[in-house]
Amino acid sequence: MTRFGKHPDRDATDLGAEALLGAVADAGIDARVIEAAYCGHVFQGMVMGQRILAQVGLAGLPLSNVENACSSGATAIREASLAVRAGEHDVVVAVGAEHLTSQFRGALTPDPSDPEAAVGATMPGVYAMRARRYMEEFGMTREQLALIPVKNKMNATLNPLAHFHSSITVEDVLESRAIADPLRLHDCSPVTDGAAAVIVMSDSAAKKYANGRAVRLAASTLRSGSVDVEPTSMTFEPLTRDTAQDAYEKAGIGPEDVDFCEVHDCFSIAEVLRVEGLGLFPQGEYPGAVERGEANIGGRLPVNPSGGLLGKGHPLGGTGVAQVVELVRQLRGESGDRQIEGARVGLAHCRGGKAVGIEGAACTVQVLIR
Amino acid sequence: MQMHHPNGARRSLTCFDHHETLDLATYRPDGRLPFLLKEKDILAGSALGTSFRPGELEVRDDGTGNLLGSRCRSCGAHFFPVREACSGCLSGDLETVKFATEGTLYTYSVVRQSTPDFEVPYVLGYVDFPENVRIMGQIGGCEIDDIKIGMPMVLALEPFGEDDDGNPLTGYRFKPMEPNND
Ligand SMILES: [Zn+2]
Repeated sequence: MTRFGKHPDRDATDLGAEALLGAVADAGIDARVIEAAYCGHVFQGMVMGQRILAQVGLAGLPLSNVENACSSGATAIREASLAVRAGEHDVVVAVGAEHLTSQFRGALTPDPSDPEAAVGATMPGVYAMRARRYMEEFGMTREQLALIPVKNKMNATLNPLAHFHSSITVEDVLESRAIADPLRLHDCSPVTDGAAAVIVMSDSAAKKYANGRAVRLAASTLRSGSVDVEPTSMTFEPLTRDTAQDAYEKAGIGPEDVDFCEVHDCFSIAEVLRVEGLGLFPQGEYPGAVERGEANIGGRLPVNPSGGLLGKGHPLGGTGVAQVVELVRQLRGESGDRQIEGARVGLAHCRGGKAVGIEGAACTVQVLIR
Repeated sequence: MQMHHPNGARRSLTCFDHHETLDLATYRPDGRLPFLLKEKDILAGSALGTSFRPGELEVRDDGTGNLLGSRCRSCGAHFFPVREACSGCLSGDLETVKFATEGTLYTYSVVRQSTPDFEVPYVLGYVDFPENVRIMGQIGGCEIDDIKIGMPMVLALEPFGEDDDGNPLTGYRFKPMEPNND
């Protein structure tokens, strides 16, 4: 993967090509063994994948561009895994890239055609409403919520590829600019450029090419949100729960087997909703667990050791692929100062998008086992 | 944040006109907002423009209006906005209905950063209606510190900018229900 951050002199094609070449080098393969490609992005225009592959001399392969909001890159990995599991291909690349700083400023919103966008819905506003409701229901304090960006930005200081490299305090969070009450600037993931790529192989190809370095993708599941037939709790995520349940079944594990995870912390409150939805902590108990250090690197269940979206950054298409890069490196023991000792099972969770009446648009869960 | 859509243009009808209802000069950095929507700004009779989104908000000549949605004739589920089929039972036998104008505030937030289409700050909230639907809207007609989860809310019509031809549009907000003095 590329360094995440602001890349004013580059574009998504260039970043995607760097990530793809990096994945090829890491896998130690000749790029000509790649049979197909999936490319996840949100705002990079038509046929970004073709532009990336042309850049590295791989034009001609079957290639699909994948858009699933913040789950676009993770969906590209799922599509790659399906192509391999179906026996159609043995070596497939999934790449996700976004040059977001040239596309955005301010707050991400639903599509302008959406009735909620028409009355002023913003993603920070929606998550702020969920945070307020969670505080009301479970007594979470504003200070407890601030401990999540504090943890993730601390982890990011240990990640040379992260967007942010400075640790922050609870006071820094509480004194940062108000975005949507009760959320402040440090509660929100940044506008980030970056790309990541992974090579997905069949067992036989891995034996042939991977030199024992491959990590097993035990499950890669995807769901889209159902339409509410009645108002449901906004402090719990059935979509996350169900997507994770599919993944646990496919991988033959339960939440108790997960050693660490990368979850979609687009906002501080989102990390709470995700880990509880995944069944990794009981509902209402994650803020207290963070306070006790249980989610730190070295804690009972490290959450977002890479820095997460809050610390490492959130280049939409690149995000889900970068999560899997972190899982692979952790499971191989290549994570340096942020290495989680003895990690065997890693889980990555992405979810993104908003449409009226739907709990969430797209959710993915990947389980990797050493 | 404004996204640069492939089709370029921002649509003027996604623009709440706050100039008469929210004086930013009186915005206080302690988080309190002035009155967001004064009684006189709630539309009646001849002041009405056409609905900003006719499929979702019905605006009538007598100054009243309702949010619109679907009711499934098979299982009774309600949806906002209008749907083609019921996600509960998959029946296609749906009728368009007017929702009640009174509901309960589920949660809210003061939005302080938005797209260029919306002047900040404004208050966003979700209101639960008796038909078992939850609808998002802006909140007005009260001070920010008076907003509480669970409070009764009522639908209020208000000016919502103009369409591309300069004709006035009517949108909606939710405001706290007046205490009943009977
Ligand atoms: Zn039905």
